[in-house]
Amino acid sequence: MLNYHFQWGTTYKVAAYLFIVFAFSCEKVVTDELNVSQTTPRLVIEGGIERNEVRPKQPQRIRLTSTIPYLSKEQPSVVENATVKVDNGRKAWKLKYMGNGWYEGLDIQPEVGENFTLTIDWNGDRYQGSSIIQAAPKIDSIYYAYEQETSITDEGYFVRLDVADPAGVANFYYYRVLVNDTIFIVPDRGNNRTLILSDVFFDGQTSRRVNPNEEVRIKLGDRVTVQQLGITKGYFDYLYNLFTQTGNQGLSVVGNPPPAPIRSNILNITSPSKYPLGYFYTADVSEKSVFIQ
Amino acid sequence: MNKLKFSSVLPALLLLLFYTIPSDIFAQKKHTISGYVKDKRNGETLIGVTLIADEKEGTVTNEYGFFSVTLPEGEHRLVFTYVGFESYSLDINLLASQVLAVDMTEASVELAEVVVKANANEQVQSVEMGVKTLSVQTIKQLPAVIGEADVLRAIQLLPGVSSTSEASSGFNVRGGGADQNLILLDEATIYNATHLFGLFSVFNADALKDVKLYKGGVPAMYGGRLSSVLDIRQKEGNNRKFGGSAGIGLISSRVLLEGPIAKNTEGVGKGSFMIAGRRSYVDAFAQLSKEFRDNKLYFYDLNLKTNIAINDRNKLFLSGYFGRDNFKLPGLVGAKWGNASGTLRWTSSAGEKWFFQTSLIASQYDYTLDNLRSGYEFSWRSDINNFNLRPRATFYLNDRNTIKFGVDAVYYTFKPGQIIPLKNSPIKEKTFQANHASEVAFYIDNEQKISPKLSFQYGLRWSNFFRLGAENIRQYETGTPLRYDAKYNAYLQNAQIGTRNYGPNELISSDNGIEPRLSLRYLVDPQNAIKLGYNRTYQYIHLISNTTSPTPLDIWTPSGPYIRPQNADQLALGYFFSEKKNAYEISFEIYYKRLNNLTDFVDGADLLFNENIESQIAKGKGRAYGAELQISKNSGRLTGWLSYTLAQSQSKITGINNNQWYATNSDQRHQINLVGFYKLPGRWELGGNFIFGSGRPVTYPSGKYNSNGLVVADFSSRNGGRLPAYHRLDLSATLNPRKTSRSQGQWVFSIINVYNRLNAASIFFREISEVNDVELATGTTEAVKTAFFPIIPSVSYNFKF
Repeated sequence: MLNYHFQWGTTYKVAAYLFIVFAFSCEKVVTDELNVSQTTPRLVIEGGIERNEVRPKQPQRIRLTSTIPYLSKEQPSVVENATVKVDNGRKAWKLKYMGNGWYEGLDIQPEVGENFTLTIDWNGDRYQGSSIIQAAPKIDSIYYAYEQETSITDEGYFVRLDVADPAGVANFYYYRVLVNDTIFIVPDRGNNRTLILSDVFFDGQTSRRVNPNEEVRIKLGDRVTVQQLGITKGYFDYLYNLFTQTGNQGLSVVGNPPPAPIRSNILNITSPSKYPLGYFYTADVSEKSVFIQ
Repeated sequence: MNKLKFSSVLPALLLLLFYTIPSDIFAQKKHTISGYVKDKRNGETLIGVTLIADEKEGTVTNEYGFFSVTLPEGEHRLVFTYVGFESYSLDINLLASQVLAVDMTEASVELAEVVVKANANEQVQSVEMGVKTLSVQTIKQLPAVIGEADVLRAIQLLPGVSSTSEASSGFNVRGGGADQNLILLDEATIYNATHLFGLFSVFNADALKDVKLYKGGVPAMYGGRLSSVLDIRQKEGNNRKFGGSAGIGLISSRVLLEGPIAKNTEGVGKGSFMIAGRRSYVDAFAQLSKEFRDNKLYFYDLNLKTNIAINDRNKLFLSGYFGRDNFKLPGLVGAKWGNASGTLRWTSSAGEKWFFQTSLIASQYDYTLDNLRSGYEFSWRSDINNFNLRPRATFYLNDRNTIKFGVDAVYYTFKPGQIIPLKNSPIKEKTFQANHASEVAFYIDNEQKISPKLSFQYGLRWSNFFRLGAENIRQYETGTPLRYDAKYNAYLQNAQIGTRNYGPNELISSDNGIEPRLSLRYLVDPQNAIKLGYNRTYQYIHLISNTTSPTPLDIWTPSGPYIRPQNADQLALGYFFSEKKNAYEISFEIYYKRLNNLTDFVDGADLLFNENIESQIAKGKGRAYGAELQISKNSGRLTGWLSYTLAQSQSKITGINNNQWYATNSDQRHQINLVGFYKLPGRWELGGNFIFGSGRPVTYPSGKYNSNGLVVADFSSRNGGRLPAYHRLDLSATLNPRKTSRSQGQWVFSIINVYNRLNAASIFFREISEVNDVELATGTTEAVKTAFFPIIPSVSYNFKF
């Protein structure tokens, strides 16, 4: 119900509060009343190159799919017949197709500062783009606490971090929370201010009690891992738009920003108007885990 | 590129001026009658009173109730008419210039049923077009959302004016953006005219006197916004006796006090004052819940106006407005925002042919946003303020020419942001650079009667905008912050190569615009007129907002080295009819509007906490055209109007919608408003309005895909779809106090959306993210319609003391 700038935290309680205030406003699902057609399918790139000292052997994975109509009940159609290559300027790797749209490279050992270029050949078009690995500082400490209900969060266990930001460099962070090794994420209007951070206003400072994802539900016995990804400004901007658009709950009295295509860093250099979607990212990952007990 | 050549228009205008002025010299001996028209009951000056001399020569009182008319020596009959007042006639034998003090009496309730409610066919006689005046009485009689009489919602019932969103009092005029309206309260700019995130306007109807909207035909003394001027005047206060009024509504209460200052022996004050306050108490409901006890959501505002007559000819006014909203969700966010303004004005009718006024105005808008999220608590402040000096002279040259000229000088300070850490958070204090600018406009305007049938109002406004230091201006590699790559249809940022340092008040950049304004009226006969209007407007300050309606967090930014002024041309043609007794009126106008250098934002622009706004700005152009028909019934028990608007509004912005024209957010093909008031024989009055609007544009996704564990919509064309049509019926009933009753209490009952239609305020698309109250990314998508305003009954009680 608030405008999109107020995207901190959970929508539902904010909305609930304002419902008390205004005692009106309602939502109705109109999926079956609409006819939303689709333009020509576009190539979608997911995945990237991660440097992770905790998991040095993990494969580097890229997923290729193509868009389907928005209200379709189908799963995204996977792209199986593409040629996918990654290079760091000195060496090139051809990724192997593993099924369900996933392409994997096993022996890529990225280093901070390396620039990776992704090249995809598919249906006669060449798609290309690149990204640099940005260093991510270590997470100083991870801890958890049982917290009382507030007007925006339910009571329960919450994981908190203390992190120090290196001074003098523009850092962009992306937080991933894994509960029992599964990444947790839900569309939420707070995502664009919680899951990603730019240090522009806290360069060189130590942040305490950072909540890396306000939506995560954690129970006793869970193993929670938080990954802090050092990302590029380009990926930060992409994620900002991604989280803003997916977090739009339409509850705005005053209107949301105009929906617009979210630009990829990969270009179709053969036929630019058939631009792809998604992002090829590179990140340095630092992580820490904690058992809830 | 087919711009008007001003080099050829300007001499033509001047020629016209000089051609007619000397004709007077040879005419018979003439004298001037001037003076003020006031409401007899409370001494409030009356704006827009029509004065007809000898059933032909006409004039209207200005914003201060002043008139001046020059007539040949001899006997004349003067007739003053004004909405809701008994007409006042005077026979005069004019031998020398004289000053009149006219007191008009409000038509009594019994008489009101037969008294003509509109000025003697002023709509036909006036040169103005595209102009609508709403009386505060009309605004108060309209059905009101939760009982709050609202100026901005009322003007949305006029043809050519539409709402930015059902739940918002933001408005669009003739396809223009909500940021293109100049909103003035006693001449002071109000930067954000809404409370509670747009739900209510900041104008307390009790404190207002007159509301005038210029949709086109904007006179030369106004400038600074592209699409419209909403000129709101506050009441001056009763100069005969002390009194007050109060109102109790469901969400707020109001109180107003007024009275004379320095009464003379006849009991008439040399001056008067009015002070009004309003406070909402929606937050009182939140106190009932333990969970929401620490939350805040309220607004209040204060209005003040005082005036004192120094002597018969000179008057001083001081008026002010102060309003705040306060909102807080503990642990998440807090916000406070509001406008403050003050106007000091001196008016003088020094000679009977001259009227001088000078205003010194200060206005300010600021907001504070507190991020209360653990780990990064900070407070963010932003404000804009201006000082404005406006000297103006009106010269009632002769019975054919009324010339106005003056200067409109503004000095702006923009403070885009300051960040302050809260609770020892790691956020470092930082202040964004302030921007300074000065806007100076010179104008001259003449209202000229060529013949009894033909009248002109023409003027010229020369506006200048200076961006001034001290400021460090970022310098970019190729001279601009962005370059557009046509091949990939994308904006690319140019590298910053340094900054250039400007000292205090050093000129950074300057722009200027010549703004011709013209209206022409041809009277076919006393009942029928044809009018033509053209105006060009420049807008030098830009609202940094990426949403359809104004929000509290929108800031303004000045034109400068990288952001160019916007301008618009509007051409309108109209036909006006008024029935003999003015019981019925018809107006029909068509317009074409062209907007150049329109400021918009690149796809995915992040505008909040961004110092480098120039890197987010895309440019383009716009066009809007339409036809507006209004039929009004002004007398009898049943009064009201029916209006129909047919319109189209489009933009073409580089890099947006594949560089194709697209419908703007305010594009609405058909709009019908039916507004009626019915006076029952007893104490009851009924009011109602029915609104129909064809669907507004909406952007439908052209596909979906997965990214980072979420389902994302792909949008390839902007505003390609349409929402369902909008229609709503609202009713109100007012129970007036008994004539004999001493309490003077009035009950107002309203029902918004009588037949409870859930109109689509928006249709949006989302991934279902909750199953059995557990948050979960399901991968399944749905389309959802949101609707505000189901059936909402309300009641409020007003009384006088």
